[in-house]
Amino acid sequence: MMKSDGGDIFLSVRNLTVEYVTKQETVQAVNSVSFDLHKGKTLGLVGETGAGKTTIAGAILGVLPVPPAVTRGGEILLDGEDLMRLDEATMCKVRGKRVTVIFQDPMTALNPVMTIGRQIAEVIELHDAVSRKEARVRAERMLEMVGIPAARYDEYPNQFSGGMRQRVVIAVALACNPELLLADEPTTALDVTIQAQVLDLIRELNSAKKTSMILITHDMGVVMEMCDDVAVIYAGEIIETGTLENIFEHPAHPYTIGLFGSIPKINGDSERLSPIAGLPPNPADLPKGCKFHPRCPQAAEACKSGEIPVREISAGHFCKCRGKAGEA
Amino acid sequence: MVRYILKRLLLMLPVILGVIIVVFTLLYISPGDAASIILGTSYTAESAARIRETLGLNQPYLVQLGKYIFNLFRFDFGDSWVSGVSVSSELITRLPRTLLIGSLSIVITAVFGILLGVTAAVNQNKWQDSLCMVLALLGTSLPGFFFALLLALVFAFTLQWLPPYGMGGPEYYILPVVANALGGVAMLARQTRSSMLEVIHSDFIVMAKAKGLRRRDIIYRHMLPNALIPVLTTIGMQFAGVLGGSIIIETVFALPGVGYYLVTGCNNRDYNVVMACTIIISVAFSLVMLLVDLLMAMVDPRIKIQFSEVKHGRGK
Amino acid sequence: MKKHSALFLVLCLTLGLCVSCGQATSAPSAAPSGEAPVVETDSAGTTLKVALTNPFSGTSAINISNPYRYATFSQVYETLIAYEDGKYVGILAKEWKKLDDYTWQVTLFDDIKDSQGNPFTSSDVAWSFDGQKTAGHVLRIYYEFGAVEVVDDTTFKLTLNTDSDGAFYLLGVQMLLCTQKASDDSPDQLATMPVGTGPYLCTKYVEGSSCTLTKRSDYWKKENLPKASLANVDTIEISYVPEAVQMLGTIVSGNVQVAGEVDMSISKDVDSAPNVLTKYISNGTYNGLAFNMKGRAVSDNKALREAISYAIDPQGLIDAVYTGHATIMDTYGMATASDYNPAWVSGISYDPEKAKEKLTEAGYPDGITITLVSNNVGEDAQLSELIQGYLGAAGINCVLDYVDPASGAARLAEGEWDITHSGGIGVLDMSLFWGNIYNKSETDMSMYFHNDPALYEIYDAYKLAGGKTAENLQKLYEYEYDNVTWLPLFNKHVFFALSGGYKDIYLNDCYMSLPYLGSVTR
Repeated sequence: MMKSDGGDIFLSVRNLTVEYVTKQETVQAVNSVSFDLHKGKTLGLVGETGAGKTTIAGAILGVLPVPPAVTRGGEILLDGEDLMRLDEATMCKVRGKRVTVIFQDPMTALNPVMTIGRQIAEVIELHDAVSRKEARVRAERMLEMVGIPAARYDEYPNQFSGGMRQRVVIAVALACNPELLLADEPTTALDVTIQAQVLDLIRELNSAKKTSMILITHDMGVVMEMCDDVAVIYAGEIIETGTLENIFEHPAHPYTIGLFGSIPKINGDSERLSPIAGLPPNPADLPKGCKFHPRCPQAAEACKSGEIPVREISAGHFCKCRGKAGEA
Repeated sequence: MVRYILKRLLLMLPVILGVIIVVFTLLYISPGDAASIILGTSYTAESAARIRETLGLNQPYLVQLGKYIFNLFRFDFGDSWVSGVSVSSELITRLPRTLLIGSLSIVITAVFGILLGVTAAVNQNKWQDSLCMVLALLGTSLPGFFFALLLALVFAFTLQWLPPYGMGGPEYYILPVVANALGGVAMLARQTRSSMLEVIHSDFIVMAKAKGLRRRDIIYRHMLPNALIPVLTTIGMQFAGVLGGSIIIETVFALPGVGYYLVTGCNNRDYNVVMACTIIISVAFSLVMLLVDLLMAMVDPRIKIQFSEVKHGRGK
Repeated sequence: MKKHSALFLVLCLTLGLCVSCGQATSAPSAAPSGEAPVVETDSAGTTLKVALTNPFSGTSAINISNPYRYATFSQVYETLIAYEDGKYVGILAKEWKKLDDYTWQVTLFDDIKDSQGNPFTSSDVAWSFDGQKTAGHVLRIYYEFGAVEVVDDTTFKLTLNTDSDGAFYLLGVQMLLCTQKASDDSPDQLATMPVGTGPYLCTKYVEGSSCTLTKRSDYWKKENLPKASLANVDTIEISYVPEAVQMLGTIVSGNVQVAGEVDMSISKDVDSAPNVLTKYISNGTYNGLAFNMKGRAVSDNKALREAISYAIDPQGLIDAVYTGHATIMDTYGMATASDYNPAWVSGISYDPEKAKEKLTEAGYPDGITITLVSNNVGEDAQLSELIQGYLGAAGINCVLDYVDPASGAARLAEGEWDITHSGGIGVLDMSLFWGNIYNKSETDMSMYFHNDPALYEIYDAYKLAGGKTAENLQKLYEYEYDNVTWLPLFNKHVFFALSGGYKDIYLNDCYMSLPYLGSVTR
């Protein structure tokens, strides 16, 4: 659906729909989401908590908790190959090698009773068929690369701070030179100075290896630092995509506009934040028509029902809205 | 680490001393006259008085206690006044048997308990989970002696695969060990299951999956080592249960061990036997708990750190 | 999850029900062939497999209080005499005679040798008896022992503290003897491996678990073997099985040919098992009801004691508690006592009408409440409850006061009770029978607080040296008959199970009905 010119498309997600089904209710987490990612580029997936961003990442990797999670349809084309059609054994070869993850919470992402070095070496041994010794050497190199002395190979996660642990997670994610890196709010749990260091590190390593990355975040500042393209999610749907300039300078969707409006500006003269009115919808009971219409200042009767069309506002800039949308 | 072990061993001594004093006092104040039991139907006041004199039961409490503790330092547990045989020589032959059965029972308990618990947790809410938990329920509900007799009936008398009682080669130990292991399996299975469930939903397990590890490897390399740490403590405590259970098992299977010795000692008010058995069991249990603590320290790096010298300081 | 669990539980319950319905109340059909196999003789000789109830510690002849230790080693050690078929026969002793009131002279057989070849002489007798005394021993009879004076190698004089014949016979029948040399040669005074003069020697002993006895080829007694000296089988393998159900299984499956003592809880199953005989002694032990003779309603009211006595049905007690394995005891004394007179009947039998009459006569037409003290375990407790029931039917409200067996004597000494029931083992003369009832303690009263001067006049006359005459015994009997201070109830059988083609075994009715294992016959 959404194409852009230039650069080959490395990852293509088409009409991905994921629900969480329990006896009490069905939660629609991701609703027919589609987007593309170009090789070597970074796509920022922006949205509020609970919008469905992590679910998209989980669906790509196939690590969603399966009894509640049900994937209802769609395709995930990695370099042409549909990940959703692969059997478990083949998918295991993809995970950790071609597609890797950086998790949000470094404090719990590591196995507390295994040395950090071993956790890195494990993934190397698994995918690259090397001896234990060789794996250790490479793991030590990874440690150095993320700024941890190799001598600390045999230490345990509880001997490291949050920032250091996140570096270990990054080392694990990049150990086998992945083609696609999914970074799920990698700096949310860290303080600001560390955040800068970690982001620098990621950017460095990515550019060295030409890794494609999906960066999930709710922090617009991070998006600006790191991303080439942006996709905005609301209530499990992509409501706007485009390049960084498109989104930041010409936001089209009322939600995106609202997002920027709610960021405090240091030289603005408003005394209060201007949040978006209302609350995000209950994913078990989504509104009909446009999911944002209950809170949209520009909502019209037509927005309350039916399938909302996607309109191309300019080259590579798409918006899912019936409204006047983005004059500027 | 060595210092820690020594300190713990030293701390065991006041515990044992406490046990000795408490049990001695309880026996001393409990009603019941050793002389009447010994004499039974041939009880007369004179012979009873004579026996009490010989056994030193007329001396004041502190004198008796003091004498007993003094003898302990010489490893003299006294003689059984029912048989006249020295208690320490009895214990030397009986203790290995009880410990052997106890250790084997613990191993079986651990193996089956963990297996059931892991199967239940990994297949949570499916039929395997229900089956394992029902089996665990049966294990807790069936009384030990009943199960022991059932085993004897089925395997010894009906099928005639194993001897019903007695001592001898390894085949004599199979039924007693299995019977003794039953109760522990249930508790351990539940403990393992809940421990595993806590771990199953952890972030690092998702991470392990994201690395591309196969399910089996995730279970054994990542889930189990984390889940088993609290289970280790439970296994240690089971040891006490196993030692206690040995009383029933030894009676049913006619294995002369410490448990049976303790029971007959209690019935006969044979103070020396009761004291000695209680002390031995306390010592054994304390040692096992110490072992478990050390094992946990070795296995769980979060605890290990407290003992090793911190070479690198807190990393930042 | 809940559905599955429920399903599995129901499956288990159904399975359990099906299995148990199939079994019903019959004995477990254990041996596949359904019959206990007959023991065959082969070139290796006959082996008798035995299961005894309780294990024990120690194998020496001294300080034996556990009856199963006695039963195991009474084939290895021997006694001076034995009581067989109503008379005394000599085992180690060839002859014995009473020299005066307190002294007996005994002559041993010549050439008695133990299994290590040591000769057994009078000095060994002296040594054994002294050893028993210094062991501080337990059976009351040993306190009657005075001294042994050695005359020569085969003759000695035994002095007692009492002039009762029965004391001599009791000592002679019960005391196991061994040679001093064997004990000195042994590293632990025969504590772990016995050496004696008997027809068997012990080849293997695992403490608490099993014992193997092998027939001696050099047994010293060659002719006129009494039953206690028989060695009808070549090997005896004994195992100790404390658990009653295991004992039952092992009897029924034919794993053992002799088993005992059979616990009451499995007696019905043993009785009904095919190809299993039971052998018992009918006067192994006795049980009776005693009255508190001081300070209670029953103490001075003979009619009340009679009412209580008539209200109880001993046959009912026997059927309910002992599954018929007991005989009603309606006399004072037991046939094993050397001075027993069968004419000493109690004159009281079960008669509820008469009980009610007597109760009115006693002055309690509307009933009375009395207290019964008894042990709180097993058969004792069951007896108490039944007695309570019988008394209740006669209008007597009986309150049960249970005590721990260890505290029994102390509780009785407190007073504050009306009746109690208790038992004893077979006695060798009536002085011991009456002594259990009338002997005064340090507090100058009997266990049941007898304090009637008339009674003690008769009893003391009986106890005097030379007083144990039939006349004096008759007076005692008449006193009891007239005053009903003690009611005989029943003699419990001690029984053993035989199978595998064995039809008979000799049980020692003078000492706890223990079997002489070597005396089995087909």
